[in-house]
Amino acid sequence: MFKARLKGDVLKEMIKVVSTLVDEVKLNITGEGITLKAVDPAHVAMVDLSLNKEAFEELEATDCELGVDIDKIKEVLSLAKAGDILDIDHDEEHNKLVVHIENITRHMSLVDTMGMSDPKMPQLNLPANIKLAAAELNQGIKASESISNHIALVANADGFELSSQGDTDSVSLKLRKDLLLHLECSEPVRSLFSLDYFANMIRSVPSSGVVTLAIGQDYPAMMTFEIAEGNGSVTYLLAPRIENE
Amino acid sequence: MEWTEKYRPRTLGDVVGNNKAVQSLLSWARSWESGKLPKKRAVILAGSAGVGKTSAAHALASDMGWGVIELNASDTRNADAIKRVATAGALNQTFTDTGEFLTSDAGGRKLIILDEADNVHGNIDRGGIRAILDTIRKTHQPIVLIVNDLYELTRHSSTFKTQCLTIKFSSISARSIKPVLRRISISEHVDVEDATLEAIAQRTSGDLRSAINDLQALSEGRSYVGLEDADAVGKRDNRVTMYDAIRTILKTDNIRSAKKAANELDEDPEFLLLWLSENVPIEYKELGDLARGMEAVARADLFLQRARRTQNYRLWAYAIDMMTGGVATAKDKEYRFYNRYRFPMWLATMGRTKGIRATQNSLSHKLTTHCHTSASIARADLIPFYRQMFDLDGAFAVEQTARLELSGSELAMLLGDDRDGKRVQMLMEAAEARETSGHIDPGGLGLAAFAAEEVAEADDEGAGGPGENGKANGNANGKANGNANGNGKGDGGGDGDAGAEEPETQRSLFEF
Repeated sequence: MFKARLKGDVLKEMIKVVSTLVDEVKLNITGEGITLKAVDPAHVAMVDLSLNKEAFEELEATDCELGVDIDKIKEVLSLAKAGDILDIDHDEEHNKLVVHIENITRHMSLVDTMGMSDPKMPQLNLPANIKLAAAELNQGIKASESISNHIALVANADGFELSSQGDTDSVSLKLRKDLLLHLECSEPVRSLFSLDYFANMIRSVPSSGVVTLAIGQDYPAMMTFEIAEGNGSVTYLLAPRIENE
Repeated sequence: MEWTEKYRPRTLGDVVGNNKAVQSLLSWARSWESGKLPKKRAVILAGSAGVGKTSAAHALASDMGWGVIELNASDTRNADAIKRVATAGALNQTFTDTGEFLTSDAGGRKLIILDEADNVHGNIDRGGIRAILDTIRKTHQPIVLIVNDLYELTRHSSTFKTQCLTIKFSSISARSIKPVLRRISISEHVDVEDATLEAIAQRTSGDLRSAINDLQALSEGRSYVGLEDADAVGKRDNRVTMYDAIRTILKTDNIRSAKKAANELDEDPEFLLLWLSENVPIEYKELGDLARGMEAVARADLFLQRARRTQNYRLWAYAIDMMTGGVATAKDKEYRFYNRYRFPMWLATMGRTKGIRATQNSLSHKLTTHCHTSASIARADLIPFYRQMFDLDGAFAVEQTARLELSGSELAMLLGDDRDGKRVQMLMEAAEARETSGHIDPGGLGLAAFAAEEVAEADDEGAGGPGENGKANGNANGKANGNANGNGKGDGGGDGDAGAEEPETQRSLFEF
């Protein structure tokens, strides 16, 4: 059983996070909220999202799994105006998700969860921890996009750097420790990532959000941030580019 | 759950058959372990359906401890999707399905499997092929392309041949299929008779996947399967080649087996009929047999034509009976010798002359409008005359070329020349000049040249005085040409005595 009432904006934030990586996702629903974990089709990135009970206006549910098509949710959300409240429930008899916005009711077929994987978030040893405003990262991404397809994340005890090296040009954004909200770095590290993935992930951080970034040496990056006004959290993992082969 | 999925080999050791192919696949995979990128970063697994290509690729990944990403024919595979999945996967490290991080430094790879990569009209568009090639060039991860038809893939680019290792998978013998079926039936607790397993293994002709599917279909809801049950599945659509069908029809005297040969052949009856009319005379050496055989072929042809004309395709049944049973029973004795059967000459000729016939049609179409006649009269009567007149009368040729707006190939046909020949060029230019100036300029380039050659020709032949020259030549040429045309067309018109007696010595005015 699943019956929920929530702000369209909360669902929008959630869908934006998920849609950067996958087209379909399995929602794990309990009376305490919704969680989901997914690996993208290229097996380069993962997402772990949870939405607490407090993120909902109302939530009534027993444990269940629902497979949803992200594009369909997006279609419904495009009908919602700012501040609209959505009512969602699961029609178990026809196995459909029923979404009400104002006077519109959409019956949505669900996706079979049989073939969907159940990934666990891996334990990674990441020596550098940086906390900063998403707006800063967005600046660095914007600077890099005209230069190259990849971006290097570099950290040492004194600061954090985003840099991009193209065929002829290069660009870097350096942030000294005092410009960051937090920096903890036990050894100097550098990893290179696909700019596409990194940019899409950072862009799904709610505006004026704060991101905690954990990186290592030629190792995945972990990005954590809050959604739904602090009532939900997201962890992204991004695998590095393969270098030096 | 489908048994083909349930019993899919988990390791390369479990892959049935194709040992050599599996070995080469494994040694290619090992070449990724050195830490350096191997020369061939992609393999193409080629082979018919159900022989274990996809299974081998998945088993390889699991043996190597690699992750897998797969793009199937059912996924959208335009350039964008390929870049998003295959290319992104090829350049970055890996999280597996279960959320494990694999790094290539420690040999952790992901195998990128592009299944049915030759299925172009499915959904790999042009850009998709480019995206695949691009991925192969840049990849840091192993790639497997799976195809039924190798050429369908490699025709797009030679890169597939130079950058990829090609491994061929062959059909699996019934001898190897049977033990697999037995193993599955035992673990599914179904008692299947040995002869049934044998029958399934035999008739799937090397396709292990459909053998397993057949076994599952037969065993559904039963604990015992006897031989008679096996007939329920029927024979797998077992493609017989045209040669096999022809051989069966000509060798057998059994109507049923002749009909069966035609049924199993996935070809049009009209096509089969062409093959029969070509090959009945090769096989049936006794005149009586030949006459009866061709009679049956001719009767079949009547039925086929009537079916086509009236759109009543139920008549095909009679045509097929005549073609198969009729031909098979036409012989009094069996012909035991091996005969080499031929592709129908008629089709070969039609294929070869396609261009010529197209030109002929367009030319007669132009004459039809110009001379107010039917196309067949234009073709049979007018074209021979036009040929003669074009040969004789330069001014006429120029004027007609301009008025009918004849193309290079149409002119070439009228002149009997190459379409890039000098005379064709000259006529085209002269016609062009006439179009622009509005009248024929006798002193123009084209005609001056024509006249000069005319004189030279006359001197060579030495026929009559200068005054008679044109006429004499005209007659001789006209006859020779008429004759040649007559032979070619088979209409017999325009034969001349001189031409028939000495066709070799008659030379066309503009032959040089």
